[in-house]
Amino acid sequence: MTKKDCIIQRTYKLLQKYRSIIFGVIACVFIFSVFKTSNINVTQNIEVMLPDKGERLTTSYNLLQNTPLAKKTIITVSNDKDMLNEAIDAVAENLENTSAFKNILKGPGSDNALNLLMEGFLILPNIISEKDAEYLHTLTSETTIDSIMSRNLSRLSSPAWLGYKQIIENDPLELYSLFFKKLYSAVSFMDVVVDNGRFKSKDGKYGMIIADSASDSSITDIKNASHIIKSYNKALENNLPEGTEVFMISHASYSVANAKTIIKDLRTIVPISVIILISLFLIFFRNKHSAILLFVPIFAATLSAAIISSLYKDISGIVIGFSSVLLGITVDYAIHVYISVKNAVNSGYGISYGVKNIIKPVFFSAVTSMAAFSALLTSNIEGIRQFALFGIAGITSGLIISLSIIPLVFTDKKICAGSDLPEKSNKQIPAAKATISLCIFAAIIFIFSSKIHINADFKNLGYISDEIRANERKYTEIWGKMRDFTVIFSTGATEASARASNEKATYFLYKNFPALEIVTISNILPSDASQKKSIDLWNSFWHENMITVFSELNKSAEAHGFSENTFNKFKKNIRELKPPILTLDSINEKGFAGITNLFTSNQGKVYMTLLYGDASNDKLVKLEQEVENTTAASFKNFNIELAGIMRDDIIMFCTIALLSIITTLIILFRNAGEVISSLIPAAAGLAGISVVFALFNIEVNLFHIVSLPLIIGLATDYGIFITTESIHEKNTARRGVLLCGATTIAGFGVLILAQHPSLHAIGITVMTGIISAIAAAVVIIPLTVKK
Amino acid sequence: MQLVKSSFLLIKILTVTLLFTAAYTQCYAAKDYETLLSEIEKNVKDIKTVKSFFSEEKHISMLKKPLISEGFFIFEAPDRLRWEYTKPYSSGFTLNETSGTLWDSSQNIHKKYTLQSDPLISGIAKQLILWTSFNRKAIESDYHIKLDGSKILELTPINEATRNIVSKIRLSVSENTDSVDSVEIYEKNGDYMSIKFYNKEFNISYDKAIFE
Repeated sequence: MTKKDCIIQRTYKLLQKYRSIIFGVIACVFIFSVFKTSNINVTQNIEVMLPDKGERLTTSYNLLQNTPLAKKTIITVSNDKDMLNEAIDAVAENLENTSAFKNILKGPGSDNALNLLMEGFLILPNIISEKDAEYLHTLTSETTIDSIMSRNLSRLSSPAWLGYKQIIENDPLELYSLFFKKLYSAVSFMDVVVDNGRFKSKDGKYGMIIADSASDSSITDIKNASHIIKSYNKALENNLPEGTEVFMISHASYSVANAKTIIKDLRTIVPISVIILISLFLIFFRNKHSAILLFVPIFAATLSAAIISSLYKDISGIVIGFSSVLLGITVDYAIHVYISVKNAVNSGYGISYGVKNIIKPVFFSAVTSMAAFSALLTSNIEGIRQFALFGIAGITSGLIISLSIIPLVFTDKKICAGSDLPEKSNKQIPAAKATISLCIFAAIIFIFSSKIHINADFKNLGYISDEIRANERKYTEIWGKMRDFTVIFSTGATEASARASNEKATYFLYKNFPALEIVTISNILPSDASQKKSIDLWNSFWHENMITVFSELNKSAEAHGFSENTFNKFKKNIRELKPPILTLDSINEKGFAGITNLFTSNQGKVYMTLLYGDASNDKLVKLEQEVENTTAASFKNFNIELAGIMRDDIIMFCTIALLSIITTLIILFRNAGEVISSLIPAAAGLAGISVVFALFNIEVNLFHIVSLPLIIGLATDYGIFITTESIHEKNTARRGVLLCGATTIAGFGVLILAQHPSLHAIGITVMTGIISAIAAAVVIIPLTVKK
Repeated sequence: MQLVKSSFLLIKILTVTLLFTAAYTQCYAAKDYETLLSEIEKNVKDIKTVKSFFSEEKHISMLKKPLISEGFFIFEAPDRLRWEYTKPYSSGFTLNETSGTLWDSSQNIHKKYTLQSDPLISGIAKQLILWTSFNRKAIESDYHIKLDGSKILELTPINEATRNIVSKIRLSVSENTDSVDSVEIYEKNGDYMSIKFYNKEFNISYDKAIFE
């Protein structure tokens, strides 16, 4: 008996002696962990899954959450009985009667367009530019006045005379055309028109209602989201005109659909998984003691959650959920120890004999898995780093409990270690033979992985039902594209300073992106300085030209048959127009809140301007440099940048994981052939994933990436066990590996049945990777052995 | 054209004036309100085309004299229309299912449009279809209708905002109760418009080109 054997024997003798105490300690640790875990501050914040390589990406993400309409619920109303206005009003009223919505907007805020037009006329002095002032000269020239008066008369003859009459009376010189040009630049972000004070589609078939959540909770909070959906459905139950159809676009729909799908998935998958696991354990062990094996992953997950909660104040729910699932792999260590010790005890040898036979491969398997998880510590994404620590802590605790508790479930009557582990047989694994196999898999990975695309869109991590997709499609058809724009955020310590930044940013965009569409409220709400300048321009113009213009107007009106005092109101307005500087609050009071609310947040300390089309990133960076307090963000650039970081992460992770695992294997085997042979299942697993993903055009997302350590770790474990078995005269490992593979597939592989994309991602990665790895372990490794 | 683009919001008001088009095509004699409306509902189904000349008088306080216009319209159910002023200005529009032409010689405007691109015409078309198909439920949701005497229908807008502009509309049914002779639209401020129809023709085929 070697010195090592003696140590193991003595250790287990001691453990058996204090068995009750050890069980007690483990129970206490478990209870403490459960208690500690129950107090974890779990956040639903997806930000933890954002890279911290640059603050820019996180900032962009946060800002993009505040884009116009991003947090709003948008309801589209139609009515096939020509009662659209009534339908819009009824839906809006019903929504107001619920407790879930506030700030319900069915139009731009003014009762009717005439009011908006009149208010627009009254703010003209604040918003005209030098170019507009020049245009004023043209508008008020003798020829133009005559032409406009003729047009006015023609309009009064037209079928639309009723509407034109009021406009002509208030603004006979069409000065409103200056205002409408500016207003258009603020409302052209969607295909929306205003009809009878209501937002409508260009064809007039649909109405739009925009609503905020009444709750302070996030719209993605599941309780709030459910309340919103229920209230929305309730609002549609009563008093709607016949023929009314309504659909909604809201983050709440996504949240509720996701929660419902996960619950539905778990209701299907958990029973299947449990039935398969119990069946496997019954078939393999036919022993009630084996139930303790299931305790190992539960203990590992709970303890590691407790440990992580000591390191981080807030932990992402995504990280906890995902890590807990992955820590199911710790059952593998317990299975190997259990089988080995059981065989030893049944064969008349002691517990320590069983442990001694398995301790080395189990220990190194755990080390390789830890190495794989450790590689994730290099990630730029905090969530993945939390996940790595969780994995390392879990594997460590799983290993300890597998080696300490599992053997103690057996009663050891014969403490003697008996004969030693058979020495290495003269079987060998030639390095060349193993290398060929490894190279074939490496080539497969190389060829197929180049055909795989990365999808960094966070939206695709969640479940989107057919109904939501159909609504998104309809929404886009009716109202235009939802996300294809860059948003320029201008911030300031005060509303006025944010407005000034927004104006500078808008000027920059007009100058540098002349071909792109710019949507801004800067033209109807300029900076204080610009407004002062505008007012000066306005006053100066009328000071110089009022008498001439009024005289020309009177002359032309007389010639066209207009009554003498018809335009007195207009003249009075011009004479008395001395507007104060406009602020966000004051323009809102004039009925523009419906528009300005979409482009401002935080009481006007954040202004937004939209840039539609393919904007050069270099110019946007220049904008941020040249205009203080501005940030440009777009979903497209965000996804491109995130995909790049994810790609770097995968390469870095795989390289480090590979190096760490190879080092561990070299320490374990000290033989090139055995090291390479152990790596074959991992390579096969990755090759299997590459082939399936490439052939079925599966785009890689974050959940696929974080599933990789599981595949690499487990597959290497299989390699270690089968290689160890192959070079020793033992035949227990293959059974263990098959059982471990089966439990992994039962536990995680069945997630392939899930509808939810994240769960499905784990399922397909595990299923493909593990099946490939097991096949390689049990078929290819034995073929490489030279007898 | 900025005004045309932006004044789509006035469609509803504008389309009130088109009532006479529909009324003309739809109103038939009846002893009382219910009978009259029921008969309109019934008879409108048989009207395929209508052509009528009209003379229009607008008594608007902002003008010294009444504004007198003349013209004609041709309507082919369900969605073709030519509406044309011949005096004092040559202007009008056509609608051929989903597109048409707009013109105004005084402003040198002559352009093609589609219902999607021009909400003003889209609104008119929508209202025309409403009236020509005589969607009584929809009409009654917008107006209180009463019979004044035996030949005049008086419509009062239900919506207060509309009522602030148009106080009432009076449709005068012809002596032999087979069509509408005149329409009067009264504003709250006392301005009003009257339009008289003459030389009416029903169910005659027209070349589709006139709606282009």
